Formats: sequence, C-alpha cells, structure tokens
Amino acid sequence: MKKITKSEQNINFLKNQSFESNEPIFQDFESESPLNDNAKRNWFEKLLSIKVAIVALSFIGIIALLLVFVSVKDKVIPTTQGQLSPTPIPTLTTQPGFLQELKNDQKVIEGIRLEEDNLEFPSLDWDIYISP
Amino acid sequence: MKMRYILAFVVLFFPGLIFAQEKYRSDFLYNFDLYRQDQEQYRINKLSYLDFQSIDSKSKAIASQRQVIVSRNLVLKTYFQHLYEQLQLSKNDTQDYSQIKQMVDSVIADLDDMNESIQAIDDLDSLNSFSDLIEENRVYYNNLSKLIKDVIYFNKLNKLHLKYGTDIVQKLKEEYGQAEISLYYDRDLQNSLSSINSQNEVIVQAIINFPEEELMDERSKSQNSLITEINDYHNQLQNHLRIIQEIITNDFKLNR
Repeated sequence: MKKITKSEQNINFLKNQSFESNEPIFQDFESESPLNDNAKRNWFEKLLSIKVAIVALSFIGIIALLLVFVSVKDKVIPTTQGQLSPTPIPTLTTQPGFLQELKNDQKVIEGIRLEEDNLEFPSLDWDIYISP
Repeated sequence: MKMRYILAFVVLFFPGLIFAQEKYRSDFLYNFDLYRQDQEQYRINKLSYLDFQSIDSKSKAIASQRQVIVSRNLVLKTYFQHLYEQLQLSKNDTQDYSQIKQMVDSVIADLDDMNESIQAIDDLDSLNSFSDLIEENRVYYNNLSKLIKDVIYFNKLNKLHLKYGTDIVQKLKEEYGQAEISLYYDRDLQNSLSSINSQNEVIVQAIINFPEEELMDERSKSQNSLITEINDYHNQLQNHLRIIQEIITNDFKLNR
C-alpha cells in the first residue's frame, strides 16, 4: 500500500474542490477584521452611543415613574384595613361639571349670611351732647 | 412685542377694573376712620371743658362737637351709598328698586343739608338741639339699612333660584345623558320647585310693597316678617339644592 504523504493529501484535497463555486476560497479577512483600527473605533462608538441612549431612556423613564407616583400618592386613600384603595375617592376638585357647580353654589348659599356682616350698620355714638 | 403691551395693560388696569365696581366702599371706610379720630378729639375736649369751664375749652368743645356730627353724617352718607351700590351689584337686570332709591337719595340729601346748616351754629344749646334732632332719625337709618341688606340677601339667593328653579331636569339630562329621573325624586323635585317658586314671588311682592312708614317703627312688623320669609326661603333653597345633588348622585351618576 502506497503511503500518502501530507503534501499529497493537501493536493488531493485541492483537486476535489470545485473552483466553479461562487464561494471565495480565500476571504478578505483584513477588511472585516475587528482588529482593523477604523472598524474597531466605529464599532466601539456605535456601542457607546447605544449605551448612552439606553441610560438616557432609563433615566427619563425613572423620572416619569417618580412623577406618576408622586401625583397618584396623594389621591390614594388608605382603607381601614391599612391597604390602599384601588381607585382614588373623588373629591370636590376632581369632579367636573354640574355636580361641582352645584356644590360650589351650596357653599355660596351657606356663605351669604356671613357676607352680609360686611354691610353691617356702623357702630356710631349718638349721644353727642354737652351739658355743663 | 404686542404681547408685552397687552400684558402691561392687563397688569396695570385689571385691579382697577375689579375695584371700579365698588367705588363707595373705600369712601365709607375712610370716613369711618376720620369719624373715630374726631370722636376721640370730641371726647377729650368735652372732658376738658367740663373740668375747666373756660371760654377757650368751651369753644374747642363746640368746634369738636360740630366736627364729630359732620363726620358722623359723612359716615352715614357714604354707608348708604355703599349699601345702595351693593344692592345694584346684587340685583338682576329686570329688578327695579326705585322706591329704595328714592329713600336713599332722600337720606343723603338730608345729611348734606344738615352738614351745611350746622356750620352756622356756634352756641352749645343749639348744637345740642340739633344733635337731638338727628338722633330721632336713628331708627329710620337703622331700619332702612336692614331693609336694603335683606334685599341684597334675597337677590343673592334669587340668582341661584334663576339657575336651579327652572327646567333643572332638562339641564341634568343634557349633562348626564339620561332620559329619565326616578319617580321618587321627580315628585320631591316638583314639590320643592313649586315651593321655592311661590316663596320667591311672595318675597318679591313684600319688597316692592314695603310700607315706608314702617321704617320709622323700632319694631317694624313688615321688616320682621320679611326677614323671616327670606330666612325660610334660604332654608328651602338649600333643601332644593340638596335634592338636586341626590338626583345626580343616585339617579344620574351611578347609571352613567
């Protein structure tokens, strides 16, 4: 049996390859290599800008959540069990329309008598009399 | 640039526009303050004259007595002007208070006349008699002020009556988009409506036909009955608004 040497193996391998294939045998590693300085910089800058965008968006999100929390916090009324009620109890300022108007007018009616005190007849001295 | 001018105009003139409606109020407060100063001076000069009986102290006492009467008349004049102004502000366009206007105008003219004629009086006895004469009007001034205040009070209630005393169901239906109200509230609402409407009419007639001679009476029956009716009407209007609130809460709001 003829012993096939290493170099013959390589030649056989090359012979079996189809050179009509569209696939390039030798790829241009140099142009896509991450080791290339320019490409490395571009890639790093892209990554950096994505990171910055993510951090900025997270920051905005946290601020928005805080604002929502602060605005909702006052409206949530604790129940007797110490839990928070799921929906805020409507107050005078949150009820729009006719009912709000009516409640304001009820306050007006209550206050009319008090307003009248401002028109009270002035307290005057009527005994302007000098008798020696 | 235009915006800046508009803003400057609003800042400069807006407070003026608000207070322009109440021009007699500050006059009244100012005159009341002057009166208090004059009254204090009168008290000091009167005591000084009673202690020393000197000619100088007597002339000072007479001068300060005259001055305090003039100041008091000015307080009354500006008070009635202020009160009438408030009446005008409280009324609606259709109301006519020509009778009250005549009474107020007459009081103001009398007070002006008194302040003019008092300048010629320079002896103590005449001043004392003059002061007595003015004091006789005290009940009238007091009753007139009460009557005007009652009418102002009623007018404020009447503005709410105009809003809630007619076609309230239609307004509620427009607001809450519902076709019906329950029979229970419908009956209550109709009863309270007819009650406040008739009471309103009674008070309007009582004001228009108020007998002027009653203002001279210290215990005026007409005045007492008017204020009782207005107070009663006040309570009825409050009750009426409560019924409307219940309709919104129970009939409309829950089914919305």
